[in-house]
Amino acid sequence: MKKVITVMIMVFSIVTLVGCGSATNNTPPAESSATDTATVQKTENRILKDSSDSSSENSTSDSGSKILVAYFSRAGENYNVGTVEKGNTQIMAEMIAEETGGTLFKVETVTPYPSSYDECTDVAKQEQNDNARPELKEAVDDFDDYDTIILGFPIWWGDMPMAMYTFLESYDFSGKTVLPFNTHEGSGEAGTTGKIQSALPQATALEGLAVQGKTAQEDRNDTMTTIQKWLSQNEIN
Amino acid sequence: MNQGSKRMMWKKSFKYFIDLLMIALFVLLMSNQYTGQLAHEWIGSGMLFVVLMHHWLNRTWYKALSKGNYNIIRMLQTSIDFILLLLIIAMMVSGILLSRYVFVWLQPETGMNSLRLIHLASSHWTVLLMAAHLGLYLSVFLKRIYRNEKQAIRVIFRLCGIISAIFGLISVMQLNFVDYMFLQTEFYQYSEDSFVLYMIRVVSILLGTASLTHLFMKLKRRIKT
Ligand SMILES: Cc1cc2nc3c(=O)[nH]c(=O)nc-3n(C[C@H](O)[C@H](O)[C@H](O)COP(=O)(O)O)c2cc1C
Repeated sequence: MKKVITVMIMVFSIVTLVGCGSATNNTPPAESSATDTATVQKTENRILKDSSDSSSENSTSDSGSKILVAYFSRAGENYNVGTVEKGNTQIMAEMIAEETGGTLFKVETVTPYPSSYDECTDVAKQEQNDNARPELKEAVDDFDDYDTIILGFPIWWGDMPMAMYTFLESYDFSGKTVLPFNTHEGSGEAGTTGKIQSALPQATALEGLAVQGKTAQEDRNDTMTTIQKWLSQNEIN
Repeated sequence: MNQGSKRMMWKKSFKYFIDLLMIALFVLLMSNQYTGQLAHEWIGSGMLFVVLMHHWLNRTWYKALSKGNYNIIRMLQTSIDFILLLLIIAMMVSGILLSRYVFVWLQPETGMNSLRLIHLASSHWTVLLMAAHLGLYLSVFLKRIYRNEKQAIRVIFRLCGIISAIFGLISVMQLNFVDYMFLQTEFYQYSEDSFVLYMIRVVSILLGTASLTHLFMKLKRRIKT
């Protein structure tokens, strides 16, 4: 019996050691960097707002086809970036609209998502398990006029946020070209191009662009370069 | 052959079949990026059944726990077995609660993110510990095979062990196993390998770790005698 107890103690000491290891490795993102980016963002907010306003008036690209940049993004507390005023995907969406002259459209739900990261993961998971179609706030004006839809979203639980499915099912995409991009924290595109294509059999879904959320938030120049390269590869611009 | 030993043979073969099935299912479970979520959940449910079967077939292990002497090797063996048991329970409970289809009626209101992290870390720990567990009992199995077969098979098995150890080690690095085990990365990274290559990687990690454990035990025994 003594030996059994010894073994048990061995087991538990190893288990707790492992537990400590993961606990110390789990340090929260540095506060200072989060506030730094927040101040940078404030100034950039204004600039980008101007550019997005002008781009919506002139949403025809050089090649003559009309482009819609529809994206979902969530501000607030998030993994790896601290608390942000502008979501990672939104930063990319604004850059893409600026580059292409496309119209920006933010996919927003009637019920906003919690700004706490943990709470948001619970809500997002619940919606995914329920295969929910959360109701959207606004509709795109004259959706039929656009030929190319650039679709942006974060990866939530290895998939698009369910609100994107509501969006895809709200319009007639037949004959349109869909170019997806996403931000993530490791999953990459997580099979979303395939999911978009099967949700929109009448449209042509092209290979998407996946950028790490932290990169989009904190290395804007790198992100811009990646976007420009990606757009010219897809002959949009 | 009399009736009793025939039944014994059947039971042994069935045990091996269950063990093999468990390894095969586990390889598929690790490949959930290719199988998709729905299949992952059904395979996981099948795994639950096979794991219970494995425990039932080896129930004498529990009875023998309080008997006999514990030398270092047995202590190590028993510790690994216990840790593995805890890991598998953690993996299965978190998996069931995270379910999108099969056990969706069990979904909790909150704590999903922690459950996801438990599932991510425990599954990657389980790969290595399951392989170590396999390695610790491998000598029993190998003795049975070597008894009836030619020397050639020994060479083949050793070669397999060496190759899988090398490729397994490379794969552990390339698939970022350690990052997941210690939650350095919180999100599973989709691999760009083909399904077949990915499965070969997981099998190599399992066999490689088992072989290294087996080798370690052999050296340990040799030093003692
Ligand atoms: C609810 C939730 C679930 C997430 N799930 C994943 C995931 O499965 N894989 C991943 O790589 N990142 C995941 N993330 C991280 C986000 O994809 C990443 O932070 C993204 O850049 C957020 O974009 P946003 O700021 O535009 O909302 C998740 C984030 C949240 C809030």
